[in-house]
Amino acid sequence: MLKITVETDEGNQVIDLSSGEQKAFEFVANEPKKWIENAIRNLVRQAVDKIVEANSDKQFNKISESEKLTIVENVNIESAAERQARFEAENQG
Amino acid sequence: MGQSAWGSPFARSIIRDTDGDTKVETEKNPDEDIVRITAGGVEGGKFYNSGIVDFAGQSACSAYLGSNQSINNTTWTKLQIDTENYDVQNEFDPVTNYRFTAISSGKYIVAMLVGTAEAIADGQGQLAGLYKNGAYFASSKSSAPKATSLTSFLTVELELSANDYLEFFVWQNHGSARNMLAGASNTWFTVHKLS
Repeated sequence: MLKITVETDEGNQVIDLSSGEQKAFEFVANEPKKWIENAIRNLVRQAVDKIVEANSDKQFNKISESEKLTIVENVNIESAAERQARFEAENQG
Repeated sequence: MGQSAWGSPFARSIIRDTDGDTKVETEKNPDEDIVRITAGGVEGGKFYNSGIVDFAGQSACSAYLGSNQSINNTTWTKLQIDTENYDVQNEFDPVTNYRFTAISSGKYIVAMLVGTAEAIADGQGQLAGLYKNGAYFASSKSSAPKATSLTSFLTVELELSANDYLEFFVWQNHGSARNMLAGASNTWFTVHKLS
């Protein structure tokens, strides 16, 4: 069995895979832990680049990762949760 | 008695969603004879009257080795491909881990070329290898008929799920470390989503 635990400020989320599901995961990925980490870090990498492109005059492929993260940390942007809340508030019918 | 003629007021036709950012247009510009498809505000497809079809946002990436890289003898080693020609959907990381991570599931075609900067010993060889999700997927081998530099070329079509990743490896058995040759014509890969 494979257990994946995600710790957040709002609490932990656990994803349990059965032995069959784990076997299937290991069939397609050499090391499931690395696949999961790559999926998350790649998504974050692309999101950082999108934020930099949309919120600065910098080209994301011309500046360092630390400079990008500084831009992201200092910019005022709406999170996905905030967008969803706004959408639901605007579409009450 | 007078006569009236009524003509159609529509100069173009649009099928669109409620907020207007997803649509199919048949005449965005007068008589252009192009069908344009837009999703979420991004124009992703154009059909021309020539029969040519554009998919401007289709996943496609091309990159190459920016500087020579030393590869140890008989050791599968990931190529540190760090220079992009293009990367339409920003799926390749040329800085941290030299990985292509697919955004969308589908069938992809991959090509890679690896060239040595120095001769490989007579009878020895070099392999270009593709890894998928951290595991060997396919390779192509070149063998030296005499002491000479080698080039290995590999092309495969494969299915990727969203978040599957590809890495580009090389192996050689010259007997000691050899440099792989940098440059857009010498050591590179391309990935294109077919469907």
